[in-house]
Amino acid sequence: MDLIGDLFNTAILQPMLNALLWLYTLLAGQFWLAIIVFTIIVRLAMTPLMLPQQRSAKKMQELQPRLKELQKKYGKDREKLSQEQMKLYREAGVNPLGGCLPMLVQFPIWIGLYRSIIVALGYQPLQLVDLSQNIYAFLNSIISPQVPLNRYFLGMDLALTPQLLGGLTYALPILVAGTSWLQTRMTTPSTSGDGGAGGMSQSMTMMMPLMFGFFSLSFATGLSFYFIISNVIGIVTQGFISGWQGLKFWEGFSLTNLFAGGAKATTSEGTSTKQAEAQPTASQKGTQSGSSKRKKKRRRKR
Amino acid sequence: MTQRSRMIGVAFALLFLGVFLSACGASPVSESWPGLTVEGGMVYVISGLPQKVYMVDAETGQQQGSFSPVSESRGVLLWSPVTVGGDLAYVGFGDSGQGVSGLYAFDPETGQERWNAPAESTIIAAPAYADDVVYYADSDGHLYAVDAETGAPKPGWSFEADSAIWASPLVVEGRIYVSGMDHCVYRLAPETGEVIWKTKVGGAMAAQPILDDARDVLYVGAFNGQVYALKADSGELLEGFDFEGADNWIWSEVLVTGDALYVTALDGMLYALDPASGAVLPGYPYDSGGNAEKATLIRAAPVQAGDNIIAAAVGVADESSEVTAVRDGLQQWTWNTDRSVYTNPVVVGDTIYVVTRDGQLQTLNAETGVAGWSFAGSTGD
Repeated sequence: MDLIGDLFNTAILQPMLNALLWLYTLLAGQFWLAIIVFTIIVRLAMTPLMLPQQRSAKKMQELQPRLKELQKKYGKDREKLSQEQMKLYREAGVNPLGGCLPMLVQFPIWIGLYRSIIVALGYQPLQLVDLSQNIYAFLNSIISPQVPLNRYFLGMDLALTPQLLGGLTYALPILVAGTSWLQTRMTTPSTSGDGGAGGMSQSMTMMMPLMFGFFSLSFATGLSFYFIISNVIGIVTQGFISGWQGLKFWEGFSLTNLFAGGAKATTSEGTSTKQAEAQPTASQKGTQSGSSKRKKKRRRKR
Repeated sequence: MTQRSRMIGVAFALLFLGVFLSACGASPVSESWPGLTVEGGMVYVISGLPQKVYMVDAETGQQQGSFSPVSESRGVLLWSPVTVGGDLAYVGFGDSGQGVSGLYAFDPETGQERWNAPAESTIIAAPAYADDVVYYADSDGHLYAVDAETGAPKPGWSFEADSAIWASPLVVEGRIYVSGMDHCVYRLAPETGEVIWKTKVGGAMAAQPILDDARDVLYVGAFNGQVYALKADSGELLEGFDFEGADNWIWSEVLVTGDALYVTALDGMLYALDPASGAVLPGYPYDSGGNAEKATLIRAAPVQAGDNIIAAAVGVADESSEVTAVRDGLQQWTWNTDRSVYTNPVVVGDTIYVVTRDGQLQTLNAETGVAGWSFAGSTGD
């Protein structure tokens, strides 16, 4: 465990911490500015990883009609449906968990950033001692004179949690959850939500933002600040890649759909799939008619 | 994929997320070190779980009493070291869970609280007692002055620095000096707290300025690794004093002896300086991590025991500690512990008192470093 801790400190915590501190010295001693600039830098660095996923999300949207067809064809056979869906994903080169994987990959970054913020904004003695041991020697002469850092933004202590600060800081977890949900909604468009990998993805893309929002009550507000900025950048980036339709969360929105593993999504053409489902096709009408006729025949035989 | 397997997958994903996010959301533990004071044959040490002030006989190590401001603790506790003045003892205490922070006066013989005076924020440094007045500072930069007997605020007194004050005020011969995390050293009027002079230096200061009576010069270390020498009457920087600087922060008080200044730093070094020029004396700095070739830091102030200078170093990686006696830059003896020692050791006669971060009090023979009695506060009371 010590080895893992040392590795984490060397590879993640110290580079992030020193980057934040260096930005702080460049940005007139405003830590909130350093967080914003750092977020932009991290998102830029993550672009090679995020961009394929965001493009995959766009492909997912384009696959929706074909996924609907599979749903109609194999609706009662979930195993077969799942197989056909995965086959379709493979052929198209998309990953139904595309919206979740970038989030998971960012976990070490979030943990590193949380630790960096806590270490940088230490306001108790041992926290400052900890800070002193994590500053790179070549930066010590420019960072040490800045200690203790200015950890306030709009009167909000970036090192403390909403639970401790109270008041308007409770808006931060709501913003974290909301922007997370919007971002994952844009990067993981809903499938039918009934069976298959798409259904699991849909459940996760709903639950994970909620969990983030809940847990951010216990985060330093500086970390919530990072999440919000990062999510907004993600939303904007995804918007330019696959359009802004995903932002229209009110279309086809219902609480039932929210938690049933499939909010009704709009297709790239902008038509509601719910509306499309409501209109039976000619073949369905024929099938339905045929089945009712067969029922009538059975009754007559009795 | 079946409904069941989907739900299992979601549950695992949420559990995974919860573990990571809960790691992010974990609250910090108590982030300071226990105070240690030896006065009048009694050791006052913060120890035990829950933490209390324990009064321990300085000769025998037998507990004589204890004091706690609260019946139960709910949050992170922060204590200052105890200061003894007159018939009472004074300690700063804060419990984040109960929103309590203030100075407490108690009877050292009975452990009974006499009075308490509030503070707006946590009290890190030991209070100062002089002329029936107790001065204490908090992390919001306030320096309070209260009557030592009653705790009543001193009429007309007011002082606030621009940042936290983590150093005890120096009250000497009617003069009050304060160093702050706002990079400033102040001299204050004793009756009102009015600023007589203010000198800004290059780094935050968590250490009390120390007065060299003979030279009437204040010496104080700062987080930029520098030691500053200021003329006590005017606050001007002493001309010609130029210390090359430590490689990391100087947190603790400078030790002023007749012919040298001793300074410890978070780079693990013990420096000896010429008081007039600030030049590092031959044979120094002493590298506390040199023998074991490991990174160390020294938060505790150096103290003098006879001809030796005592320094307590903490290993950065393993948090074990060495208390070392140094003379002329050479190690005389070392006492090792697997616990961390951040608190200033105290020397009384031929005994050195050391307390570890978890409240273990240990005595050492000042000449040989041989361990004597030890004491630890009770746990689970």
